Amino acid sequence: MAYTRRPFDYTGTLSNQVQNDLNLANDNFDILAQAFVSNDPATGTVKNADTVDGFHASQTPAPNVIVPLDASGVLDLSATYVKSNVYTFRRVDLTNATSDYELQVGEEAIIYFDTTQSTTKNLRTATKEGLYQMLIWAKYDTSINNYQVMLYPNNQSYTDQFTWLGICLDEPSSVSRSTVTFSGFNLGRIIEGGLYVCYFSTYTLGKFMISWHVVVGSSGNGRLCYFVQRWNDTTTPWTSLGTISTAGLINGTLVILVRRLT
Amino acid sequence: MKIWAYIHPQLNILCCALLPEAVPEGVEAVEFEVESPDDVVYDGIQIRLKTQDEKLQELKAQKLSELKTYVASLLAQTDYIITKIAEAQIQNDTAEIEALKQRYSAQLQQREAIRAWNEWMKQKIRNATSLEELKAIEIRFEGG
Repeated sequence: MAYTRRPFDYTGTLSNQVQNDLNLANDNFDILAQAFVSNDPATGTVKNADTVDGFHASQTPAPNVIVPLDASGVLDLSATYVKSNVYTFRRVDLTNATSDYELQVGEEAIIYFDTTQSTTKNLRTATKEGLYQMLIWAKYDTSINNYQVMLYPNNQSYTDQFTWLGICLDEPSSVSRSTVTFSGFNLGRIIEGGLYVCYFSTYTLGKFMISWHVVVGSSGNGRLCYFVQRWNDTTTPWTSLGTISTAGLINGTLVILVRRLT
Repeated sequence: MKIWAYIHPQLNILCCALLPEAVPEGVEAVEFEVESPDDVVYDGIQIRLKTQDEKLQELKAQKLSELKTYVASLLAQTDYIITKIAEAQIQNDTAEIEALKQRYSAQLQQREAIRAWNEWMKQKIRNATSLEELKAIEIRFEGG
């Protein structure tokens, strides 16, 4: 029944006026009690008091829910993400993806490449014209061989279409440089483990990559390399980030992070 | 790895798709099992796997190039001594030439050792008869 704001009628003349008024008052108490949690005003908590513009608050992220900071003062969005007009804060795991995923600006993909099972890993990342960043980490492992790591964009090789210039500094003091052509982007050699940082532009008219990496050599010495590379063809669009190849099976998992920057 | 090799219709170059779906529609591709897409070649008539000898010669050229840049980097560290001696020679200052040779005798001996090692390495690379033998050759000068 509807709530009656002023249930008592002192001008009433019905024979059962008092009974009617008290019943009406009871109904009103019922209605008011239902406004509280457990229908109990003693809880001191009004139902739906956590809504803003009709949206509830909850520590469990869900559509149309306001998430508060947790006990540690962290805004934990778990499986969901933050998006603004210019940046998306989200990490997606593409390790087992079966089709190309298009990263939004700012979004990051993580891919685990089990090099004991295969010499290639399709990164399953669709690319738009823009700038991207990629990090590859190979754990230190003395059983890793001196294999060349290549990135074949669009999941294929293009014979001699990539001009590469590399400068390397080897311990204790040798410096080497060379310029050659490759059929894909040359990321360097995994010797016993290392960290690779790459930035690349995927514009059809300007497909470039700059990268540097540090690796540990077979004799325990370190190596620092800086590469610049150009995909010479200016007609082929770079639509899929591509496939990483290690040329041979190695003993470990490469961790690959890809972020779209623009 | 499996690859699907084809001649790119627009670029007219050999391409190797690492996934069958990466081959452009309507293009005929040849499937190969290889260690690297670079193991495939188009000889103007057909797409085929490189022969062992072709691979060997390619790797030899690569190793020799690596050796050349490595030796150049080793020698570059003491090039300033050669410049000093050359300057003294231009000025016909024989006393200075002798003094420099004496002062830097250890470095000059080291340069000779590097050059001798370079010749020895070149021969070793050229004489290699298998890919395994060639791959096992490490380019690292340990005479210093």
